[in-house]
Amino acid sequence: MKRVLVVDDDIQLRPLLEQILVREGYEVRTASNGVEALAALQAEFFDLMITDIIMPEKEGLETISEIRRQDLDIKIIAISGGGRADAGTYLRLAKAQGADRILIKPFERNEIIEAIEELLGEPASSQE
Amino acid sequence: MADNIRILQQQIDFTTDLEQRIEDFLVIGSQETRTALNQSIESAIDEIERCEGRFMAQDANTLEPLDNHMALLQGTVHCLISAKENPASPYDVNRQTVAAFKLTDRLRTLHRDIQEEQFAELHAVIEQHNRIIAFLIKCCYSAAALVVALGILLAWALSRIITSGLMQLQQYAQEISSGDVQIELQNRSADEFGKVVTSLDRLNHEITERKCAERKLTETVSLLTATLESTADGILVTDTSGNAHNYNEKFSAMWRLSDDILAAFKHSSILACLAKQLKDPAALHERLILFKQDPQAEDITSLTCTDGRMFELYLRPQIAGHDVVGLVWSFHDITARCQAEEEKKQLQSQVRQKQKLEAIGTLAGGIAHDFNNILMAIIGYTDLASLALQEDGDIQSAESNLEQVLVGGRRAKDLVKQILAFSRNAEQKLQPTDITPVLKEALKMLRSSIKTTIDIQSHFDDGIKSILADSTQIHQVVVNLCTNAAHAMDKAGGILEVTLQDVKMHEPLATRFKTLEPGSYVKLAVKDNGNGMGKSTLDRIFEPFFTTKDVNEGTGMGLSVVLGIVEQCGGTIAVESCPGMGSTFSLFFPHVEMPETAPMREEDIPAGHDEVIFLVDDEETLVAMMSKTLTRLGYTVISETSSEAAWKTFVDNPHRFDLVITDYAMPVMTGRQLARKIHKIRPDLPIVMCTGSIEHINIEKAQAAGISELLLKPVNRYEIARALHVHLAKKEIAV
Repeated sequence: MKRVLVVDDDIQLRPLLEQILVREGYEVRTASNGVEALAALQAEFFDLMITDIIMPEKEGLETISEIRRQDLDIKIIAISGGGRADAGTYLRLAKAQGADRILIKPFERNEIIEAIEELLGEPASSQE
Repeated sequence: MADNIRILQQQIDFTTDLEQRIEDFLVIGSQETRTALNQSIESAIDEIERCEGRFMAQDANTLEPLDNHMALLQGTVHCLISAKENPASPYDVNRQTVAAFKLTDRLRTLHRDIQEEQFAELHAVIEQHNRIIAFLIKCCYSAAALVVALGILLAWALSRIITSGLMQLQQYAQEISSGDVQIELQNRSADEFGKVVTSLDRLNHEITERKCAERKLTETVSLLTATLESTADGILVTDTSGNAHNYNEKFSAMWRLSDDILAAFKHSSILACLAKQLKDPAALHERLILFKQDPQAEDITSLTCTDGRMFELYLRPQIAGHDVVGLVWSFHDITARCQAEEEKKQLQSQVRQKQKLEAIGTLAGGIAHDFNNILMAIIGYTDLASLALQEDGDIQSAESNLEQVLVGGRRAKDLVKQILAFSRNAEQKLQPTDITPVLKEALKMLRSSIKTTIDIQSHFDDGIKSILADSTQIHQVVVNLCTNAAHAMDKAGGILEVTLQDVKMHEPLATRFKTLEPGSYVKLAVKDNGNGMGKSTLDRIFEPFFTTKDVNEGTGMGLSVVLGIVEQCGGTIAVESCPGMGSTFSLFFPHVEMPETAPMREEDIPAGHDEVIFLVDDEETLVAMMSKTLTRLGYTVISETSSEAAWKTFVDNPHRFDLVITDYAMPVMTGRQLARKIHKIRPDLPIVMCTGSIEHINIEKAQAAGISELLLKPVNRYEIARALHVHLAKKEIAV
């Protein structure tokens, strides 16, 4: 089962994404900021990380940059609803830092599933 | 001698007479002449006889001719006598006559000689006398001249003595009068002269002093005139009886006064001319009345002209001794200043508006971020709920997801509220507010957005009193101050301390913006142990646009807006900060009394105990909603949707009801009328009235109608529960 780490500071979106991905057959862990995410990545292996950009403690951009610097083998989908700058700008920056896909919030369920499938190949549930 | 002369003279006279008679006789030859001649001859003979021997032989030289003369005369006379006796010998007569004539000539010569001699003698005497007299006269003249000369000399000497003093006095007096005293009189004797000098000295001193005073006065007048004309203010000086004494050119130009008005020099006409130019013509008169009541009162009157110019009037008394003798009207043109202030005000307003817009712009990103998250939650959970129902048939999961949709909806609602709060231009609705729950909520929200390295500590005193504020604004103020504090501790983390306490000030507290009067205040302090601020930063933090953050870091409204909000609540801000020592922002809000209608906490909402509430309102939906609410609160509800029906229901069984809730505005019978009728039967029954407008009924009117409480629609659950609880309890006590 593919393992996905969902990183978002939004208290509603973490369980939402978790529910969507679990429903699709992925094993999901969540973190509420970059610090927690990096800690989780140090502790466990994940195939993919879905990360928000604007978060307290450690932002998504910094986290992606850190992961890429550590050369960890992990796919990254950056998601953002914007912040001080618009979402497009953040996501372009995220891509430059090494994100594989980007999605602007709010996105539909199938959008994220398609993006994951594009990166991880077969859907988790069908692999099983 | 004299006798001789006299005799001689007599003889000459005779002779002359005789001669005349002879001549007459010879020429005329008449008897009469003859007679006359004869008489004369006889007289002559008599005289000769009488005079014979009378000549004194005093002088031989004189005597001889005289004797000769006498003889000749006698011969002549004898001839004449003979002629008379013998008229036939005229020759003799004639001869005798010639001889007589010759004698007469001789006598005349002799007489003349004697006379001349005598005259010469006399002349000599007279000459001598004359000489003596001349000498005497000369002597007299000399003496007189000497006397005169001596007199003149004496007079001159005296005059010199007197006039030299007088001259000095005159010169002194002249110099005194000309004001240029160069001489100094030494005479200080006790005599009259000395007294005059002393008087003149005094006079000189007085004149000198007076001239000095005059010079000073002239200087003062010129200084005053120069001062009067150099000021930019228009100045008019009047006396208490209404005469204008002085004014400067600025004054006449400022008020465009015509020459004839100024020439009249009556302040009443001048002031009338001024008043005509004012928007409020009575202002000057009113000021004058106030001035008369208290001339010393410091007061500035602002005057606005019909043409838009504005002046400040300073009215000062002119005081001589202890009396007010005049008034000085000073008009200061403040048009430019007022315009500048107005422009500044507009600019400040624009700046605030612009800042607000910029803040909104800055926040737009944050709002978009939150809003997109919310939308995603709503979309996502709705999708999942749908899936759960359609594909999984998992109703429980669907319900759980729908619950999340609701959460998302509420979050969106709050967000909209925040956006509106930011964009609202008008003043916020200030009402007595308990800010403790507001602060708790704000800190809860902040916790998720502030770094975990920052420890948020809150110390709220129990029973904090209410302040007059808008809870949304207070929320924003707290978020703003805490966000700033968090930024100050961004790198190293730290402790963010928020305290809320009631403070009582016994002394006035001077803060940067205003002085707080002694009294009760709620003090909200936000303290950090971050970077702190230097004086230069501290001085500017409340300026609009001032920020120490990066261009993209600016969030919230800025401290200038925070200050604006706090001041709107009647409070103020005090800041303490030091570089490296952190900052403390202390906000002081004056206490207000919390009304009974304040929102209650859920656990405090009083429940009913099956009491029967009679609900009357002509709006069916409202009746339905209220019935549901009251039922949930534990009451039994009987309702009617018209006052007429309500009256019937009530009359049927008046004693089944414990309390009446009625609308005010209802057709046929108003809530008040219904209340009165009900009270006639059940005076003990509490009646709570709900109204959509206090236009027709106010608390006083409601109380007069026996209404227990007047509630303004929309009435929330807490309010109605509290009202029912209070009035039912009162009824219990009354029973």
